Amino acid sequence: MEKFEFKKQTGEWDENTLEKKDEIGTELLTAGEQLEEIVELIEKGGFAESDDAAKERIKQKTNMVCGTILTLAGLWGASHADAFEFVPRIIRGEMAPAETLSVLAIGALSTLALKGAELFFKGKRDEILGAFGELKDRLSRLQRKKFHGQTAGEMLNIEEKGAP
Amino acid sequence: MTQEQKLKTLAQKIKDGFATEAETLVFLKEINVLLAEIKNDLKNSGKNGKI
Repeated sequence: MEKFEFKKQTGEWDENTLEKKDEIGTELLTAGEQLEEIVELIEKGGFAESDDAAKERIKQKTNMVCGTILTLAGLWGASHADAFEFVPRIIRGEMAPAETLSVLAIGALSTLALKGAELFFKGKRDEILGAFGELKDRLSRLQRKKFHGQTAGEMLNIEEKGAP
Repeated sequence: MTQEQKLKTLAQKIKDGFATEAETLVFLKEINVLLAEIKNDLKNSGKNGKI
């Protein structure tokens, strides 16, 4: 039934679909792992030690990731309605990197993973929920942490310029 | 089309429920490339002497 519905909706059902499901799951988990590594690098002060050009690249890419994923996440669940508040600020580059990363994980990537879990990994939903729950806790702590006496946003001089 | 426009287009299709699994996969791969680049920038920080 599920296969039929997918075919009806997209017209793309084929014998490779199961393989694609596995690939999608792998990409979701990879995204979570990479985000965790990014958090660890920031916690170690990597962001504070980055040169100005690297900081700008990090800022732009982070904003791009957030801008696109949050567009999805904000419309995927009332429980993540707060994502709407952050999207305009992220797109305008007004959010501090640490805060942006927190929102990325808490408000967006976790939602994306859970949605992916619902769609592709129904049997593993609780497992993925648990993993991202831990990630959320870590990022919540990161959001309140200062690096080298300053928040990442203060170092970049891109701390909030005014809420929309 | 810029990378950001491409990602937003894919995001819109996923949001609307019209994205194929192949397109969903492309979207996630693009996101992971960006995350990898962010990670590499952080890993390489401080190596040019400016700390």
